[in-house]
Amino acid sequence: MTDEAFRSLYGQYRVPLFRFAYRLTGSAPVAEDIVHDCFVGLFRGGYKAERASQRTYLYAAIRNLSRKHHRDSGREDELCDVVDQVQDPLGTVVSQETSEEVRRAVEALPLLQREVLVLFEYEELPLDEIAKIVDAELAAVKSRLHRARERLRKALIPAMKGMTK
Amino acid sequence: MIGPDEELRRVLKLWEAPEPSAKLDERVWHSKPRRRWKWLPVAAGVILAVGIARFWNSSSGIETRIEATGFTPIANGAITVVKTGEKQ
Repeated sequence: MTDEAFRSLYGQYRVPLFRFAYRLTGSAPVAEDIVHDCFVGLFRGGYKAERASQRTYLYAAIRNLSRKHHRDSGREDELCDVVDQVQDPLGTVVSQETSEEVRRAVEALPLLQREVLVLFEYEELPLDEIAKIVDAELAAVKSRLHRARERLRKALIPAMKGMTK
Repeated sequence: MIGPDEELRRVLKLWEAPEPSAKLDERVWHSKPRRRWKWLPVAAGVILAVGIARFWNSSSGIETRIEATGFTPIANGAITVVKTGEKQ
């Protein structure tokens, strides 16, 4: 890859990839480490054009590095998307900071649901591309997204009521 | 009338991610392999070729001589095969 091509790719994706990593890990310094490692992998020849588009490759790399971070920090139990107990991070207390409420509600999602939700709602990627990124069937992606939305609706009802007033 | 998905989407968008710092750019560019390494094998080849050429030039001034004064070939040289342990 030429310097020019690398610069172009880095300029195009550094912010969206950082946002994605930040929303998966909840930490800006960790997200920067992950984006750094992702691009180091890219210029060491990790990308194979015949396998996926560059965008799919980069998002998948961020997703895998974030999962590695979760494993290394002993948060792998967050991965499970079967347990569907509705946590209410807000309790009955309505936070003054809606943004903070949303952050906490999204971070309370199991990782498999969170990554699908972030890719769809924040990065606005199509479902078939999300399926490639998370290496899952399309039906599984739809199911995870549905469960994530249900949980968020229940967790964010106070905030949603505030929005519609 | 806003649907439930649209309503949720609007609430989710309230959570904004920060921007990456300029430090990230520095780290990525610092980690990127420098292109000069690409030319290292070429440079090594050129240095080797120059070295060989210089050696060749310097060694071409040496003249190899064979001194044959006093050499007399053996007349009617015959080959005798002697077996191990056999008395001559």
